[in-house]
Amino acid sequence: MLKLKRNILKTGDYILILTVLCLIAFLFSRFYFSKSGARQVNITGNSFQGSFPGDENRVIDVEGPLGVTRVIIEDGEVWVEESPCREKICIKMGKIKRAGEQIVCVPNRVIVEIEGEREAVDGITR
Amino acid sequence: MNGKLYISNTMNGKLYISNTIRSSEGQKRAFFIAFLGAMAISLSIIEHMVPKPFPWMRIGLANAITLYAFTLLKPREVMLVVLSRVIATSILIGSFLSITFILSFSGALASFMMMYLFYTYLRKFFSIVGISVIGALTSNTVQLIMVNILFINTRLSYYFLPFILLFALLGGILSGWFSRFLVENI
Repeated sequence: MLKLKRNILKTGDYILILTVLCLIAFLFSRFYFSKSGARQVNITGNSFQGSFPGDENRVIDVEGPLGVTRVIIEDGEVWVEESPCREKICIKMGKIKRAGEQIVCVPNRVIVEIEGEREAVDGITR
Repeated sequence: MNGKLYISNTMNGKLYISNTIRSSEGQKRAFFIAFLGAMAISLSIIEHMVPKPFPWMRIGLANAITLYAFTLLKPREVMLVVLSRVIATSILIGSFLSITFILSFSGALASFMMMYLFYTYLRKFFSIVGISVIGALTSNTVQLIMVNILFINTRLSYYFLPFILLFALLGGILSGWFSRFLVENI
C-alpha cells in the first residue's frame, strides 16, 4: 500500500511543463524587464509647441512668461531641470516615463506630456 | 440497511460497491458522485481556510478529486461532481452568487472542459499529472480573463499573468501527484 509506480510521467507532460516554463519566462521578460520608455513627448508652452521622440537625448529650452524652463529627455525619461518659477513643483515632480504622465508648471505656462493612453492605475482595492 | 459500504476500483475500471443490501449500477454511480463531491467540497474548504497572500495562490486539491472522478465515472457525472463542489463550497463559505463565485464557477467549468478534452483524446501523450497542470492553467487564466472582462477592464492586470501561470504550474503538479496517488492506491 501507499506506493507509486515509477515513470508515470509521459513525454507530453515534460513538453507541457517546459512550454509553460518558457511561456512564463517570456511573459516575465516582456512585462518586467523590458525598457518601455517614453515614445513621444509633447511640450506645450505659452508661445511654443513641440513634439519630440522619446528615444533621442536632447535638452529643450521653453520660453515662458517668467523665463526659460529647461526640459531634458534622456533614455526614455523626461524631467524639468531648471525653472524660474517660485515653488519649483515641476522640478519636484521628478522623472516621468510612462504613457499619459504629465509634468505641469503653472507659473511659467509649460505642460510636458508623454503621448498615449494612460496605462497605470492609482490603486486597486478589493 | 445497517451494512457497511465497501468501495473499490477493480482492475477493469468498473465500480464495485459491496453492500448488504442489493444496489443497482445507477445507485452505485449516484453514491460515487456524492462521495467524490463530498471529498472535493471538504478539500476546497480546507484550502480556503489556509491563509495565503493572494487568493489565487492555491494548490487546487479539489482538482485532484475531479481527475480521480474521470477515472471512475462518465464525463457527464464528473461534471455533476464539479458543479456540486463549486456550488456547495460557495454556499458553505458564504460567497454564493458573488464575484468570487462567478470567478470560481467559470474557472472550474473551463478547466473541466479542457481536462475532459485532454483526458478523452490525448491520454496517450499526457499522464494524469499533465492533465492536472492543464486544468490548473486553464482555471487560473480563465479567472483572470473574467476579472478583466467583468470588473477591471485594463490591460494592466495581465501583468499578473506570469505569476498566476507559475503558481498554477506548481499547484497543478502537486494536485496531479495527489490524484495519481488516489488513482493508484484506492
